[in-house]
Amino acid sequence: MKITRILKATACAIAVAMPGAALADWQPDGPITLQVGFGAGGSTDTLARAVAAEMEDATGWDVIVENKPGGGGIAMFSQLVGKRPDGRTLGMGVTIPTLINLAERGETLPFKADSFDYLATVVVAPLAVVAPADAPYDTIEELVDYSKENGGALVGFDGGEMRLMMQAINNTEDAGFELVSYQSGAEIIQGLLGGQLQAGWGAGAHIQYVDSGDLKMLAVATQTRQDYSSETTSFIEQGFPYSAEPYFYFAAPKGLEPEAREALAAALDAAITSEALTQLVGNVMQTTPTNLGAEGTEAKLVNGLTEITSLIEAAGN
Amino acid sequence: MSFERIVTGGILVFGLTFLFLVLPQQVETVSFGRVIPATLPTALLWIIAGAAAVQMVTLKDDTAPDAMVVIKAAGLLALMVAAVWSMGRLSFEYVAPVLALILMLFMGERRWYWLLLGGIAIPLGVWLLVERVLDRTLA
Amino acid sequence: MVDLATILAGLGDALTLTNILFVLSGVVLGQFVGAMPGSSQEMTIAIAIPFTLVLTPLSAIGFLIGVNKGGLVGGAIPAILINMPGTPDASATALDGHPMTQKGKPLKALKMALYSSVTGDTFSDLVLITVAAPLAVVALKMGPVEIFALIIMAFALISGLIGASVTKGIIATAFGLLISTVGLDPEHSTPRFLFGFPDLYSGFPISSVAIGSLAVSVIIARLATMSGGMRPALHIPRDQTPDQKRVSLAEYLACRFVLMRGALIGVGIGIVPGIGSTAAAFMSYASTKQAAKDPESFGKGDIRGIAATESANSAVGGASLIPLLTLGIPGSVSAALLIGAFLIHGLQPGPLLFEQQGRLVYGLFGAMLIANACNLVFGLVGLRLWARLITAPESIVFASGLVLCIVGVYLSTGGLFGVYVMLIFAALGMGMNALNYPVVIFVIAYFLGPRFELSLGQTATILRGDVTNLVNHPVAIVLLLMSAFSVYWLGIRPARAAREESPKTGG
Repeated sequence: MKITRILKATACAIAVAMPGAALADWQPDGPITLQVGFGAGGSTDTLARAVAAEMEDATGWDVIVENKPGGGGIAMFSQLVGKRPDGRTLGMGVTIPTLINLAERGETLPFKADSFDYLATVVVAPLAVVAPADAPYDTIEELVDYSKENGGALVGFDGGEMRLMMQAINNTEDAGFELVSYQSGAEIIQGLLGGQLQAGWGAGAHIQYVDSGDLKMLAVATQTRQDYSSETTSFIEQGFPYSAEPYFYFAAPKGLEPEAREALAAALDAAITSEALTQLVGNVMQTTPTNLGAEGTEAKLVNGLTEITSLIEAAGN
Repeated sequence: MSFERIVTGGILVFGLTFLFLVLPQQVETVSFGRVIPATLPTALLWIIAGAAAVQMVTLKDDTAPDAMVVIKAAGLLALMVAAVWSMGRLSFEYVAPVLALILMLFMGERRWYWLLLGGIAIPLGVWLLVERVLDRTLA
Repeated sequence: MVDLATILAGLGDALTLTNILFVLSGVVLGQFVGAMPGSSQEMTIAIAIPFTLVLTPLSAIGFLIGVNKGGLVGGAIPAILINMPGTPDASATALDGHPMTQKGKPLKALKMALYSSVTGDTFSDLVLITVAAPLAVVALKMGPVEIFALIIMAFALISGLIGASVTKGIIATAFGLLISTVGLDPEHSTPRFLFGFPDLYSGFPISSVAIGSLAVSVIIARLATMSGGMRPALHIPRDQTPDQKRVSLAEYLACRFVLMRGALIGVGIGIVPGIGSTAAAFMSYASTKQAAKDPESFGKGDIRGIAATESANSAVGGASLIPLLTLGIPGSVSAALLIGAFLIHGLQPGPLLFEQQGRLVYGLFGAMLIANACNLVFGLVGLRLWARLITAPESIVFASGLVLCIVGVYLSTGGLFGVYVMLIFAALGMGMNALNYPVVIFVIAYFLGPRFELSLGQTATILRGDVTNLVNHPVAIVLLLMSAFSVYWLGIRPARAAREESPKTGG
């Protein structure tokens, strides 16, 4: 049993070492560096490394993953914009943090939304608001009422769009939400289970706690409902006209040759829709991969800016 | 005025300059929240300036560093900066052996076998390990 | 929670020859890399993860656990031998370890570090394996307010290392915290003090600051003061008595309270995410020094100093897996990397982990205990080897050390920018050392800074800006009172005593 597994592993290793069948005519003239705009070990990093490994498997290219954390990807994209568009440097980031920074301090950034050639998306984070299972409220509206009666409910968040949506509700409903900043979804869950928070935002990590019965869903922040909890309504359905869909996406410096862009997009698509990625995305984010393709990704970034700008206005900052 | 007093004065000036000139430019103002981006840096700069002011009065030590040592240390740092700069221009495998050799010669090492080991074998060994075995790029 | 058959099956999985070999090779690699100045086990794990993709989950996780644990032991080696910590944790070990080397007892110091490390590690792992569930409940109750109080307590304990000048200690602490505010602020995500460098969005890289101010500064200062003549970097007298080379059982047992305190501090810090093993090592060192009848012997080669730091920093490891496995919260950078590896190999931290993956989790626990045994056995062989290597001429040791620092920082920060930052902090470290500003306090403040500011903001919101709301947080009140007491007892009183003792020199 063990021996066969090792043999299999060795066989895999040999297979990886041999150049596989190329997907297109274009070939990178050297190793490809995939820069991740987030720190090592997080969900973004895990996804990027898995995509890189799948790409290596399928194409035989060398794909090296580097972490350039900071500013929700801003540090990485600030450097990526100056690289040569030879298809050998790619970046992976998340749409919403990039868009918020472009909207709030675009003039100080060395890039714009159209400074890149977009290639693919991996997955959309299943954003939702959750609460302890025994909390006396089941929807955002009931949470607003609870907050008014109890001098402000404590709501944990770990991303700008989450804060903006809650501030927007504070403005229109006078809800008085007190927003507590956290570093990760896991820490928000700790705050909910430990009784420090009345509600909190989840971006995937919350799902297994909903399954285990420790937490319950109040609303999803995506425009449509989410598969794992199809009875939970969205903010929009509950009468709050806000939504946020952070996509994890790949981009390259602007000016790729069309063949290179096509080959890279195809290689990424094969990796993103592979079985291994489906399984990993299931593990990490409790959802399935979504690739919008090169044009779809570009549309998300370019059109997303107006949506974010109106959300920032609604939040009043 | 002792050397340490001058340094303490420098710290005081640093604290006040950052507090009144640099911080307003380098930190954004926001309209909400109890702890704003400037809260902690402002408090820390006041603490630094305050402690330096107290130290101007209470300072009893007087450690004056040896000028020769300072010059040598500055020279070594400059050498390292130059080496790192050239690593960006040329590449690691050409610059690192030169740096190691200069450092060893500076320390007075003249035995050729040690120079060969420390100046050539080790830097190139590191380069081989990183670039060929671990598959990472060095500048 | 999990039935006995699953536990035994899991432990049995860990005991296969293949797994033991993977754990052992992880430990060997970890010790080796940890012992290189300028590198860190975080970097090793990051590089090693892709290579584990083809292994079975248990072999892969065992290998990475081995790297992590081996790195902790390895980091102490250059700290003790050449006063150049391989990992930031080890800068606490250097405080007494290097003076022991200068007294001609390097092997004894190394062995004590190894024994203390394995002791703390094993204790922590046993705590994890036996009482993870109740401790996870305690960890849940440690909210932002309590964590804020705990960080204050860490600062208070560390004030015991402030040295003779209170003002210099305060300046070093405040400056370390100030440096940590560079980059995005934790509450509003606005950039601060970037001066036009987008690289600074994530702040000064931790490895650049730590390696620059702790390691590179020491080597360059040493080179600048060298007066010609080639000596070995380390001279071990040939005719050593056994007493100078080994740690007797009596000596080990004499440190039992020190080890126990270190292990408990380590476990306590480990279950609270975000404070980290470096702080644990210094907290343990400071409280051991203060509890001793002869605190003045510390810093001059007291074996208890090594026992205190190494037991504490190693004890963080096992305990930090409690929030990691039950909630998916990493307590350190290496733990964050381990989560990534766990996910890749199908181990999903969270409430259902023990039910769904019980066998693999107990396999992981088994691998941890095996790694401790490997650490001990290979450590005893490896220490001699390292002590021998460092008897090479100092020219070669220091020149290679500087090259390795450049490579290590380049790899862990992903570019030359981090290397330049390292050199800036090397200059700063030299200046601070020369003028008796405590560099280690500066570095710890820098480490704790981001978590300090984050929990300050969280606490202000949770208390709704009203300090009297603290009455709802009795644990935090107790911690704050203990902190106030410690500042006086550990920081101000000894500093005053030291000043009265030597009014001119200080230090």
